[in-house]
Amino acid sequence: MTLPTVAQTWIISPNNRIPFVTVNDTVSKYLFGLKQFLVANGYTVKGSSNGVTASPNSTLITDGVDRWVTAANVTTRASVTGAAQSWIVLHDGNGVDILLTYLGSTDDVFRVAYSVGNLWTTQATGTFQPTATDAVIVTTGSSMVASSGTISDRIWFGWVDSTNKLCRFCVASAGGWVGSSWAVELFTPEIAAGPAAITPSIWGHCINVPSAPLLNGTSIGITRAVVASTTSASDNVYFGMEWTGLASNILGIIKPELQGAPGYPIYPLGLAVYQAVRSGKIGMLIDWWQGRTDCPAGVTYGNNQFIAVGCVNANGAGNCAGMWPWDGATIPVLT
Amino acid sequence: MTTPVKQKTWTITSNNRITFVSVADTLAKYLFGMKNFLVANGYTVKGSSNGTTAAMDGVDRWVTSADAQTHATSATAAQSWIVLQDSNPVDICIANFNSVDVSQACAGVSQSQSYVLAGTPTFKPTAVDEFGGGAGGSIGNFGVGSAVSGDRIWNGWVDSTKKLFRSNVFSGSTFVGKHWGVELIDTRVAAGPIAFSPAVWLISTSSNAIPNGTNGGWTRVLAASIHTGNATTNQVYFVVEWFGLSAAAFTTVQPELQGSDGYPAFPLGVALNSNGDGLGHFVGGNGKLGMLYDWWTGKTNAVPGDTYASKTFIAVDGVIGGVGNFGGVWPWDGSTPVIV
Repeated sequence: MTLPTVAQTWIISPNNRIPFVTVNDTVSKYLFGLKQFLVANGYTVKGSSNGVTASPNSTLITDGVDRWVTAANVTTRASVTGAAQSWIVLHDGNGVDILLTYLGSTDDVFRVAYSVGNLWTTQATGTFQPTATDAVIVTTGSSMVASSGTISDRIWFGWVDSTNKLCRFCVASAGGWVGSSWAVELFTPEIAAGPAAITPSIWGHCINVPSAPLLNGTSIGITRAVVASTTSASDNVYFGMEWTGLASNILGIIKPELQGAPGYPIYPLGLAVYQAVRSGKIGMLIDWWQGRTDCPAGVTYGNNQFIAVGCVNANGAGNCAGMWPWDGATIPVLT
Repeated sequence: MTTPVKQKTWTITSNNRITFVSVADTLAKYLFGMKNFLVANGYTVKGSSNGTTAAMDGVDRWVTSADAQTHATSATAAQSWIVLQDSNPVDICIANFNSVDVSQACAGVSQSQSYVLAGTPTFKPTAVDEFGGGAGGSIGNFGVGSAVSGDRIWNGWVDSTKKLFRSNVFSGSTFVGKHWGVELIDTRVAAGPIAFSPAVWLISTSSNAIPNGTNGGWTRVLAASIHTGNATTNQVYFVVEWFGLSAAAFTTVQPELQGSDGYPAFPLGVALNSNGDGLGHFVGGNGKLGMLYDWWTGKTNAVPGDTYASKTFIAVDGVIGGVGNFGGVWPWDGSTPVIV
């Protein structure tokens, strides 16, 4: 079908190979690389820990020091929040502070979280994971680069928009997407004026890309709505998409000629929260679409303008690919 | 949730009671009443049959309801019919014809306004590009319900541009027959080899729930380079935004994020899936047709006749089934619906 118009101006960092040494080495280079990518494109450092030294203890993180000078500064993993770990807080164009911290029970796991109120504060020991009273934890316990037993190279991909309000990442290995894709992004809100608010309209995304298609009932991210005077907890977020009466996702299977020249389907995606007292659609994703059913990883649409990432939905007839913008030139390397 | 903004200015004739005499009498009075309503609101008569005399001459031979009562079980039998033209413009043929059910009639549409008399003028007119038209008793059919007792109360809607009309019938506290009408679609068909002009569809949808797999009406698209010649009748399916938690999450729970307390009301689209529908219909015209005007999904298992927002919206029956049956929501005129 006719390809959609890309709303944002994207800077894409494709095909960043990390030759395999250890999983710890891979994650440290991935985190360091994506930090470098974000900082190079307008995200600012609020504070950091290299596992040994960190922003001042027990203070709001504002020192602005980037202690991730090399990937070696990102190798300190902790399995609990109260232990030394490599972390960094970045400030994006939404005014949101994003925490990246090497927290996980195994080397392939790290945590992403954000604070809308810029409230990340160091613990009494600064190298421990910072805390924020309004923290939204985007990833926790998820394998981000595939399990520790995998010995292949990883190739990571990063996207950031020119306003520094959207970033997204995913990792490939051995011909397919592995680990988890993640993002902290602005969305286009569709929340009525009234007692509920998501300001700025930010959500965090983390799904296991290759092997956990998103059945109905599986959340694909998290956000945080505020209802009247009560500050709510984090809310799971679910994809929304147009669904036809004939079959569950018929337009994900068959090329929709009515939308233009023959070709793959590519439809807008919405987001919703299903939570007592704050249920409903929260808005539309920006530059993120539903592709066709059972789309092979890394397939591009058009003249390499869009790329198929992991599953969007697997209700019924198959797994619809998610589609992100691509750079129009590069051949994706997944192996 | 916040009630949606209506896109059209509607004239609604509501709560038109037909005291029961017979099914044939009821159907005739309904057809006659809808014809009068449409003509009074700008639809023009291109031709008619009162079952005895007929011509495509601009004459309205439905002078009384008795003129609309000649029912046929075959297109090639004398019957009451009338061809109206709207402002899209398309021709709409309403015929007291159904091959299986005396309580039903049918509607057909010719986008090229090409209805011509059959060899015998009182037979159902034909058009080279007709869709709907009553084939098989189920394509474009509508009616008043087959029960042999009970008053019917019918409602009609027409918009000020004369490009959309819809109607339905209550009896015994529920809808009977089918929701039907001929309406413009806010098209999403891309420019190219496929033409959808005028972008109209024929509503013909059960007053019961519409489960996945059941179409909501009919239309006709033309794919120049894909199909040699005109497409045949295409089935139209409802499209609704569906969320990942469960199939119909927001049809059971009020979505506070969409505003003040109240029923859900989400926009509805329509789509074709012409590939492999097993009915020999047009292949190569798959995809979204567009969005419906002033037609929304409501809450699950809505009670027919429920009204929203000071009776400015009314719940009609199911739109899409699955976890539950979505209520459809249409504009309403502020009156109290009479459903018995």
